[in-house]
Parts: sequence; structure tokens; C-alpha cells
Amino acid sequence: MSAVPAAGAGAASAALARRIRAAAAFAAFTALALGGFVWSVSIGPEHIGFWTIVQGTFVQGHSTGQLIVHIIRLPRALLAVLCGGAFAVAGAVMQSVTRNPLGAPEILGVTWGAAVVAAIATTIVPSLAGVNAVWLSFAGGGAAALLVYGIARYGRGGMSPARLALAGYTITLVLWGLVQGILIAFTQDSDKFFFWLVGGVTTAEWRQVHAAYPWLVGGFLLALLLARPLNVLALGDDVARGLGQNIGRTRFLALVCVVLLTGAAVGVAGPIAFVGLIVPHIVRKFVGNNHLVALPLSMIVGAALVLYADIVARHLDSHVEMPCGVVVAPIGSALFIYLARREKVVA
Amino acid sequence: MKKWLVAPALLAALAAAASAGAVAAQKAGFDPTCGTARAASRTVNGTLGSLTIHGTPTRVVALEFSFVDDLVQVGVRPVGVADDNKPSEIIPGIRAKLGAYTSVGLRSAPNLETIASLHPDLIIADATRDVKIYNQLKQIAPTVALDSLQEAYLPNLHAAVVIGQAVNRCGAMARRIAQDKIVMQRMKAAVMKATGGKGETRKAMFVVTTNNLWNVHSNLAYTPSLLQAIGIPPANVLPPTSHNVGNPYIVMTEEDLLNSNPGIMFVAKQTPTGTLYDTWSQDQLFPTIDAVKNHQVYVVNTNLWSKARGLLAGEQICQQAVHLLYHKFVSIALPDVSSS
Amino acid sequence: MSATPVAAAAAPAVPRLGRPGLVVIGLFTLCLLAAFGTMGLGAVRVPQPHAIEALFGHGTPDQVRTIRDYELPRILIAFLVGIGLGVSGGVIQGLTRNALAAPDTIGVVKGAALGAVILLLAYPRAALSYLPLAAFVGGIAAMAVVYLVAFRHGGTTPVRLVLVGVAVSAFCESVIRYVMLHEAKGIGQALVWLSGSLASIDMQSVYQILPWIGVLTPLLALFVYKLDVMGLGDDMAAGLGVPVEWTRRITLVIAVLLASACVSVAGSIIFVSLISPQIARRLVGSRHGLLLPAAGAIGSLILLVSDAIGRGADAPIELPAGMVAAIIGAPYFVYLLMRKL
Repeated sequence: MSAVPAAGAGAASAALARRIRAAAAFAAFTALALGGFVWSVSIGPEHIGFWTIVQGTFVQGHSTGQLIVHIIRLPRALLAVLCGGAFAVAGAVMQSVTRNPLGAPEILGVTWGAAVVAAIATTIVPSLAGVNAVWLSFAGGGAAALLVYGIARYGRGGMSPARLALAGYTITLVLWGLVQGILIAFTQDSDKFFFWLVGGVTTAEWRQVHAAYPWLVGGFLLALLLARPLNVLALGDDVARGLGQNIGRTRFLALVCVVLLTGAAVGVAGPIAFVGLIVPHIVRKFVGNNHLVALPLSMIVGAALVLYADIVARHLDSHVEMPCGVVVAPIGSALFIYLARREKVVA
Repeated sequence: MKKWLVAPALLAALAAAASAGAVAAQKAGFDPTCGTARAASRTVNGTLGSLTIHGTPTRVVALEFSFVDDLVQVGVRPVGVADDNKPSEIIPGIRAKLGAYTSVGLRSAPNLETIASLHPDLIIADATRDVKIYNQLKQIAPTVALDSLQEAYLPNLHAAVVIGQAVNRCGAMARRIAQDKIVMQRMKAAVMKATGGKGETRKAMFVVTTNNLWNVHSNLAYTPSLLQAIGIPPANVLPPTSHNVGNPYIVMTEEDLLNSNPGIMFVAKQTPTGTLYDTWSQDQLFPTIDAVKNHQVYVVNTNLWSKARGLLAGEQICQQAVHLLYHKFVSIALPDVSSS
Repeated sequence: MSATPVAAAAAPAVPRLGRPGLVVIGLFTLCLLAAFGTMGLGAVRVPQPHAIEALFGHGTPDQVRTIRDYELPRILIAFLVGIGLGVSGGVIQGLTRNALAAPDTIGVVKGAALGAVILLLAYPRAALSYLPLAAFVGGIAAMAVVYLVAFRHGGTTPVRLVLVGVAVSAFCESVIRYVMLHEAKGIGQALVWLSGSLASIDMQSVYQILPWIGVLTPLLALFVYKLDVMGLGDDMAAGLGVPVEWTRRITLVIAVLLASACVSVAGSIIFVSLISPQIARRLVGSRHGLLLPAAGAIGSLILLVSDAIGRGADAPIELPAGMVAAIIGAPYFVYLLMRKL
């Protein structure tokens, strides 16, 4: 950087450079996300004119074209934005709290808790299938998260990032075994469940958007409130305690935030893997570790990622509009391979 | 050309066309007559290989519902059935004639130990599902693998023929298939009559729906090709490439459904509530579909319409379709046919 | 070989069979008991004394056939695959110094699964004898990719191996899901294979896997001391004269070959290779000479019991052994976590 005598000016220009870079990243990704949104709403099997699309986005109207845009395409794009943002922010919070670059909501067992409940709902007790999917997802995901948290905290030695990851992974394996068992013992239609498992917004509808968005908005707000405490926590447990922070409460609230965001998103879109793992890394590359900036940017990047993945997934196969998870996963894991090789995964 | 040549020429052309049609029908694998009389030792051709059977098998294990149907039609009761551990999935018409049997587990993963303990002398396996255990099945008992899962109407019918040959009820099966043809002709005639001789012009969609899937069966799958045989055209047609023949389903979003806009819809719901049908039928776009506008949406029994696929099942499906569409009850009582 | 000071310090001239050694022997005895004890538990029940007699040919033809043709191969496979997975997991956990590392997370199992799924779905009428080969090749290929990607500046580090392994695992999983959605017809079969079921095992599979276990496991015995030393850290080990990268490479290859062979024969059984070494470590300590055999024995034990439950609990439905292992094993593992991590 600059030589020592000019340190003051050097630091200021460095901070300015950072701010400019952050602003540029925000602008670019927001444009990307908006572009993805518009594109998603404009394509589909039915050919609909531009002006009808614009009208349909804002007003339900009566013509078939407008109705299609408003009832079918719009909720799909919105759900992609909301869930993409949710998984991304949840991933960022998780990685921060666990100080583990592999941290993802999947690790906490939330996605699998939700999956088990969904499996039960659709097979043993078919009447549950109509109940609000988001509530079921919370029940399952929340229970799994509590279990993981409890194990990590109350065993000997107290909670640490490694214990949390290990506990989560184990619970995930158990739940996976349970899900398989339920599928095999009770039904031969496991392929239908498999479709959901990949995660996507293919059959999105307003009902799901309405069900999820209060929780998601709540989760986003909680995340933003936690931004500063997470910044402090990142300095290390002892430093944070020294600065007067209640670490236990911060961690607990962070986990609540993750459960809210992930539970709601999984309830409506299934477990879209890798968004929570990969988006925080991309974001960190542009804006560093400041959560005040990184969390909102994660939201935007996550939204963009899922939107574009959904668009690509729609055109992969002639028989079926594949769920977007099918696209996110290979891209996410390929990117992850690249990052892992360069060991750029230190939080 | 001399005028007197026209009529014989036309007749000759017609005859040529007719025999070409017959040859094509035979090439499609549908051979309605067994040819020779009761044979002590005969070779049957399954999809995964041929099998030489000696004598008459008395202890048969069937690994698909359609095979059970076909067996029961010629009076053979299998001792073992792969019924996914749910006897209720077998349609009532077959269950009544089935009597007691031992369940051998899931259709997708039948239990070899149980099958062996039944001491079968013939196993009828599914050519798609049981590929992996085919060799082991052959070690237990003579095994023939036939098409049932995801295959269209004619291959399923062909499977019935082979089953007849395998259990040495060739004549009985030939009779039963002839009866089936007549019943199908009755259905077709009813369709013709109800549409004033023009035939059904509306297209029918057959879909199996769950809480997150709208799984349309294309013309390459069983039910739509069955309905096509009695004159109800399918709404969703796929070119018969090898990929499509193996995957004859189309998963649709609501927009795809609107785009397809079928005139008739037969909906099989996997669960009583909470399926996409229950959800989509509530919104404002659903009534724009032709089938909905004209009240031609029918919710049908999943076990019968999508899982069963045998001789009796096919007849019952057609009977229900004709009844639902034209309010005509066509009997599927089996007519008398002279033995061949 | 290792330098003399290391050999002298780490290996007594005559190995004493202290308590840990007895534990290992005890574990193997338990395996034998489990093997015989679970005979007769299946879709066709054969009550106990008759089951063992049937093994030697005495009893009704039905009983003899059930035990010899159906249960014996499964029990043998459970035993051998359990050893293979347990030992392989132990080696990989030692190499990566990460308790979460196992053939499951490091790419082998998922790579093998990808190979199997591609064969089952894209070429469904191909000869089934190719299935184990496809799985085997898949596992090796995935691990080769992991190693090559993780290789930088002349070597790999444990952290990089694990991370790249997880990433490659996930990549394979994503491709598996795409293939399964694209070729929906075979999905049921693929799911059965992926769940790790010993349901249609015959003696053929036993002959296929016996040479791998029989040759590779004793081979690992040669590296036991080097592995112990490498556990001290790369620099320490190099300082003590252990060829770090070479050892890492070859033990990794052996572990991957073992795991691939196991998965190719039994389907993707996860969890066994993950927890067997963990439990073994608590019972006999971290020295590989005792840890690996113990992990193998525990792996066998878990699989033997899981397969027995899978066979007999809900006949004629088969519960896959891998799934049963996950369900029973995990609570105990959670208990261990709370006690001692």
C-alpha cells in the first residue's frame, strides 16, 4: 500500500476504493438480478406480448395473457428472488457463526428436518399434504436445528464451530436414513419426492409467496440487525466478550435467523443446495467481511443466481421443466472446487 | 387405361394394402393365434431373452399387476405377487378371482428369498424393473421378462400372448384376447355412435398428479394408447424416439397445461387432497382450458387407470371412459367366441 | 522405510497385546457371533440351531437353500465390506486429520454412485455384470480428480483434500440428480442401488470383493507407523524422515481402492466408514496399528446387524442396510459426541 508518511491519506483512499468497489458490486448485481427477473417473467410456453407482460406484472387483469403472467410467472420469479436471497443470507450468517467456510444451512440439519416432515406428510398422512407447507417445514427444520444446537452446546466442552458442524452432519445422515426408510417402506413413488428434493420453484404460486414472505422478511431484518454483532464476533470469542457482547445470545439469534430463512424457503421451494454455500464466498470476494455490506449483497446475488438457474433449467429437457436446483448444484459445486483448490475458503 | 381394368385394379390395390396391414400388425408383435396345439415343450420369447418351458407350470410368481391380470383371465392363480405390500392396489375385479397369495414385496425390489421359498416353476418379471435381478430369478425358476411398466397398449397386449404360451393356456388366452378385441370394438362403436359417426375429435389428456407434479402420460404410455385404440385421440403426442419410448411422460407446469389446452382431461390423483389438481382448479386460469369450460374434466381411480394395465383393466378403463364421456354404459361381459 | 529412531520409538520389538489389543480381538469375536447369530433372520425365518446346521447342509432343502444361497453371501459381504469401509474410513480420517472425512465426503462414494447411475439409467439394457465395474471406475475417477485438483506446489494438504473432496462429492451428486430426472424411468432402480442394499447379493459378489479386501488390508499394515507419524503434522513427519507426499498418495490410493470395491459391490453405504473409526478411536486409541483393525471390526459389526434387521424387520420389504445403519448408529454417535468430543 502507500508509504508510511502518507498513511493517513493512504488509508482514506483505501477506504474510498473499498466503498467504490462495494457500490459497483451492488449496482452490477442489482442490475443482474433485475435483468433476470424481467427475463424470467417474459419467457414461457405461451407467447405473450411485451405490453401484456408489463401490465400483468402489476395488475392481475382479465385477459388470459395477463393472468398467466400475474398468476403463474410472477410468483415464480418472486419466489426465486425470495428463496435465493434467503438461502444466501442464511449461508452467510451460518458461515460467520460457525467460522467454518463449509458452513451452510444444510449443515444445521434444517433442510433435512423439513424434508422428513415433507416425506411423512405426503406418504403416511396424506391429509397433511394440504396443510401449509411452511409450517411443516418450520416444525421439522426447527426441531432438527434445536437438536443439533443442543448437542453442540450441552455436551462436554461447550459449543464450538467444529462441534456444530459435526453434530449437524450426523443429524443430517440420520434424517436421510429416515427419509429413505419412509419412502421405501410406505411407497413406491419415491421419484415424485425426488423431484422435490432437488429444489426448485417450478410450481410456484401466490399462496406460497404469501406463506413464506412474512418469515423471510422477518429473517432478513433479523439478519441485518445481527450484522454489527456478527462483525464483532468475527474478531474472536475473547475479543467479542471483552467488548461487552453477549456471545451466546448472538449465536442463538443467528441460528434463529437461519432457521427462519431456511425453513420458510425449503417449505416452498424445497432444498436448493449450494446457494447458501457459494454466494457468501462470491460476495466476500467483492466486499470483504463487513456484514453490513455483505448480507444485503448476499441477498441480491442469491436472488440473481436462482433466477438465472431457473431460466436455464427450464430449457434443459423437453419432457420436463427441471427444477432449478439441478442447475445451481453443478455450478455451485464447480465453483466450490475452484475455491477449494485455491484454499480461498478461510472465513 | 381401359375402363374394365379399374375395378380389378382397385380391388388388387385394396387387397395388397390389407395384407400389408396384416403383416405390419404381425410385425408389431401381435400374434393372436398360438398355431400348434398343446405342446409339451415350448419356447417363449421374452424381452430379455427366450425361455423353454416344459409341461404346465402350476406355481407362478408374477412381479407386475398387469401380469396378474392376464394370468387370472385364463384361470391361473399366481402363488406369489409383487404387490408393494398393499393388496388394495390390485383392482377389485382381479382381487376377487385371485384368492390367497403370498406377497413378495415391492415391485421395484422384490424379495428373492420369499420368491424362492414359494418353490415357483415360473416367474414372470418386468423387463424394465427387474433387469438387475433377472439372472438371480432365473436361478430360482424359469423366468420370462415382459413389458409392462411405461409401455404402450400393444406391447402390454403382446405380453398377455406370451403369458398364455408360457402357462400352456394358449387356446384360452387366444379366446380371451379375441373376446377383448370384440369388447374393444364395442367400445369403439359406442364412441362412433355417440359422435354421430365422425369419431371423437376432442383430444384427451391423461395425467397423474401429486402435490408437486403434473405428470402427463403421452401417447407412448399405456392409458392414452389404450384410449386411442377405441378412438379417443391423445392430447400429448411424442415422436417415438428410443428416449421417448423409455420416458413417455411429460411433467407440466400450469402454463404448459394451458398451452396444451386439451378438450378432455382424465385426472388421477395420488392423494385425495393437496394435489396440483386441487390447487390449480381453484385459480382463474383453469376455466380457460377447453376441457374445463365444457365440463370434461374427470377424476379417475389411480390404481385402475395408471397401475393396472392388464386385459381386464384395459376393458374397465375403456368402459369408464365411454360412460364418463357419453353417458353410455357398454357392457364388458365377455362374448362367446368359438374356440380356434 | 522409516528412520531407525522412529521405528524404535513407535514400534516395540515384540508387540504387546495390551488392553486395546484384547479389545480388537473381542470385536472380531463379536463379529463372528453376529454372523452366526443373525443367520436365519430373513424373509424366511429359520430358527436358530437349525440355521447353523443348515449352513453345513443338515436340515430341510428349503432351509439349506435359504441359508446357503441367500443369507451366507449377504453375511459374508456384510463382513468384508464392513472391514473395507471401516479401514478405509480410518485411513482417510487419519490422512486428512478431519473426523468428518470419509469415503462418503471425499468423493469416492458419490463418484461410484455416479458411475452406477449412468450405467443403470443411460444404458439400461447393458449387461449387469458391468455395474460393479462402472461403480468402481466412477469411484477411482472421482478420487483421481480430487487428488489432481488438490495438488498444488508439489503436494496436497489435508485441508485441501477434504475441501476439494467435499466439492467433488457434491458435484457428482448434482450430476446424479440431473441424470435421474432426465431418465425418469429407471429412477426406482437407481434409488435402490443408492440406498446401499445387500438384497440381491450372491456368491459372485463375494468372490469379486475378496481379493481386494484380502490384499489391500494387509498391505496397509506396512504403512501403519508412517501414518502414526504423519498424524503429528507434515513438517514434523518430514523432519522425522517420513516421505510425506508419497505416503499420503499411496495410502490414499489403497483406501480409495478399498472403498470403491466395497461400494461397487454393495451399493453406496454411507455412514459406516464415517463412524466406525470414531468409535474405534474411543475404544483403542489413535495408533493405526490398533485403530484400523478395530475400525474394520466395528464396521463389520454394524453392517451385519443392520443387514439382519433390514432383512427381517418388515419382510418381504427389504430395508437397505446402509439406511438401517444410519438410523441405529447415529443416536449412539450423538451420545458419543456429547460425552467426549
